[in-house]
Amino acid sequence: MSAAPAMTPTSGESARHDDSGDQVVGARLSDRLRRWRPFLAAAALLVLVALATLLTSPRTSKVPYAIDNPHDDGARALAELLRDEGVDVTNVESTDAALNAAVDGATVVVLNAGQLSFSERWQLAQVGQNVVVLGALYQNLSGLTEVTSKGSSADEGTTLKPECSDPDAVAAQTLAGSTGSVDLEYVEDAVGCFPVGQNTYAYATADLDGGGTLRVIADPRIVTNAKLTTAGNASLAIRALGHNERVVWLDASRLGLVTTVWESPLRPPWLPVLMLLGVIVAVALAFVRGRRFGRLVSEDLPVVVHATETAVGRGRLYRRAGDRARAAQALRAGTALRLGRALGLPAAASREELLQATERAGGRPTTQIDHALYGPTPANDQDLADLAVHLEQIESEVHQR
Amino acid sequence: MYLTMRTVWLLAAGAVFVLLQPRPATALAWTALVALLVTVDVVAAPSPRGLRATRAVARSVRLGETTTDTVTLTNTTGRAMSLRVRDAWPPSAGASGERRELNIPAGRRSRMRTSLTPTRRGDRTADLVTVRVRGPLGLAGRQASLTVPARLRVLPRFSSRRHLPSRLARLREMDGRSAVMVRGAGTEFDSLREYVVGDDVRSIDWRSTARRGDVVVRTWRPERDRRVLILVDTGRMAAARLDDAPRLDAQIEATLLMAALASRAGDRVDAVALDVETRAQVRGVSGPALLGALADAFAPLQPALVETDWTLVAATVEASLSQHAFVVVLTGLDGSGTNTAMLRALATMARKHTVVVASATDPGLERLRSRRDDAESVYTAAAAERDLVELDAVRTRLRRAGVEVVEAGPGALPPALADTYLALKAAGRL
Repeated sequence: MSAAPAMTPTSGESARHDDSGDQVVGARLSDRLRRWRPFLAAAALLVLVALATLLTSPRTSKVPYAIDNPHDDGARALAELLRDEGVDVTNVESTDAALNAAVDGATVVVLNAGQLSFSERWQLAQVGQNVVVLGALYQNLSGLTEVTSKGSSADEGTTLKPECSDPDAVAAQTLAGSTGSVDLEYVEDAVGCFPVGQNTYAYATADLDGGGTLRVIADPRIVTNAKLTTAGNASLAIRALGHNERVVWLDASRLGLVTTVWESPLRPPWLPVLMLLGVIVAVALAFVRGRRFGRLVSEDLPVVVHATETAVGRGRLYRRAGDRARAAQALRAGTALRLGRALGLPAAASREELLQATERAGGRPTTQIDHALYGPTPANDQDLADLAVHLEQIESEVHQR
Repeated sequence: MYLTMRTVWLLAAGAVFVLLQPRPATALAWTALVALLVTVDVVAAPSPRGLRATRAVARSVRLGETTTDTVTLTNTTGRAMSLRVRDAWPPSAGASGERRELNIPAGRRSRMRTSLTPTRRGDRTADLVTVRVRGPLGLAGRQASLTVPARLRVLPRFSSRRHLPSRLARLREMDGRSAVMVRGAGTEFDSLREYVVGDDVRSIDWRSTARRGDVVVRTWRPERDRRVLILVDTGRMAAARLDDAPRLDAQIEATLLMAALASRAGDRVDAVALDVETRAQVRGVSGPALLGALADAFAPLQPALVETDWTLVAATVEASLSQHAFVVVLTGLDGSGTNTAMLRALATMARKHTVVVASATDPGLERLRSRRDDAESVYTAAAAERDLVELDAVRTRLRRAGVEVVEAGPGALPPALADTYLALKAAGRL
């Protein structure tokens, strides 16, 4: 019994001391790890480089007027300039965060102020801190201030002069046109600079209800990277925004956008988390069920060739070729062979002998048998089938007697 | 490594925390905790490398019978092991109960038994023994496959042995019978006995009658110690399926019955299986060992999809037989494809020996021939008819060359061959 070693304790004992006694297929985990070490090291290096690149490269965006947008319509240049001046510029995603920062002494820069709700604007006015509104065209500022937005503009060719006492505006000296303006007609203590038309200004300051100063730059484009170097844009923007140690950047048009699948008001809050857990459980289940308990055992099976396959194939060839002559001949030859054997005729018996013997045995007239056995080739498939049946009948009649 | 369903349930239990704290971090933290537990469990599980396995299985088993494979696992580690074991065998080994739970204390052994009921003749090689060692928490564990070689030889069914008693009875009848019909050189004088009514008067031994005063007849017994050579063709003809088994299986059955009968009759039986080369041979074994040796040698035979080399067949006969012998050629006769090399080789053999060609015919051909319902089946019937006619021509040519032809369906071939052997023996033609 070569296949079955003796089952004595000594055999197990000797196997333990044997170097090759380990029957487990495959190398040890430590050996495998050692073999994979170059690949593992390369993968780790790759991950490290990727992480380092991700962390060190500044995050940029393409959002207009955003402080991390380095493109023409961004405000990254302004943010960097302010940072150079020692002003901390950060983005905030919600009004609450902006209000909290304002309480801590930060200037709130509001873009698209009209998209804040009335109460949010009111809260902003009451917080008692400097607020800068960038862009007044088509923006509703009610609640925040009495300053109203006007559509009158000055094209880029026009050089606007401050014509006011505001030090920031005076320092800026000129502006090259302004798209949109503000109206200060019903506002007390408001100062309007860079007049665009009758009682409309490109820049204005006013006091807020809760204390603090509101500054409105009617045309937001003066803070963009593309326009910052034009005329006194940089000067005005830095001075207007740089009154405090800290600036928070609030884009009111993007407040509702940064929602995630976890914070949708349409579903109960636990549902998506439960679905996440469900996915994890499914993965674990797949691993439990999918892990094979040992490899598949293969087996060489014998070929399946039916012995009748050649006959079936040849029959199909006859049919496709419509070879009725050959088919009929084969049927007749087979019947004649069996008839001759059943009637005890020698293999060399003549046609006449066979016909007469068959007539004697079966009782059919010779002419019929002759027609079936030696008649013409059937004209169509139906005749061939009839002939086949006829031959079988003759044969069975002979066998019955 | 592997995970158990317990891990899945534990993960699912995290749903409670998710409902209490519906945040993604909850689910992730729970998953991380479970992953940590699983890691601990895998690390804490005893190493399967501390297992020693042996297999004990019978060397061979007859097809249709059941045998047991015993796997013994020895735990050489210092810790108890909770195991799940799979004793892997190929599908046609018919293994049942090959997965078992075992608990083996430190330093002890445990056995598991797999019952094997093979469904096909040939050698079955056992595959790996796979073990799963569970960790202390039951969440996960280690999986490993152990090399434990074993082989089980599945012998032919030899269902035709039920025909053996009746043939042996006929053989005994021949023994001691007054074989008066034949007075050839082949019959041997056995003994004298008293005349009984019915005995042929020509067998009366007048000299002994005169001496004894009673009428005494001479009796004969069949020849003994004849050489019988069985050749099994394992070429492409043996691969063809007759009903649901290859022709080779019918040929092996016929070989076994023929060998059993001939060895009981006192003849010396050699058997060779060959196609383009010799695949198996049993020579010079006699007595009760013959059948076992034959079954063992022929069990792993598989038909080869090649044209049989008939020159090799002729050369084998030439080399192994120096005087007149009884040669049985087990092959497939095929009307359309019979080659002249085969006819020539058989005819040459028949000049020197008594040659019987035994061919298992296809019962399907007769079925095809008699199906004449529609045009398509009539064409097929014609093709089958033509095959039969050609087969008849081949048979005639073989008979004319002095070769005996035995044709029967796969189940009927062994007894038919045995009957031919007995008839030839009775006729003293061996």
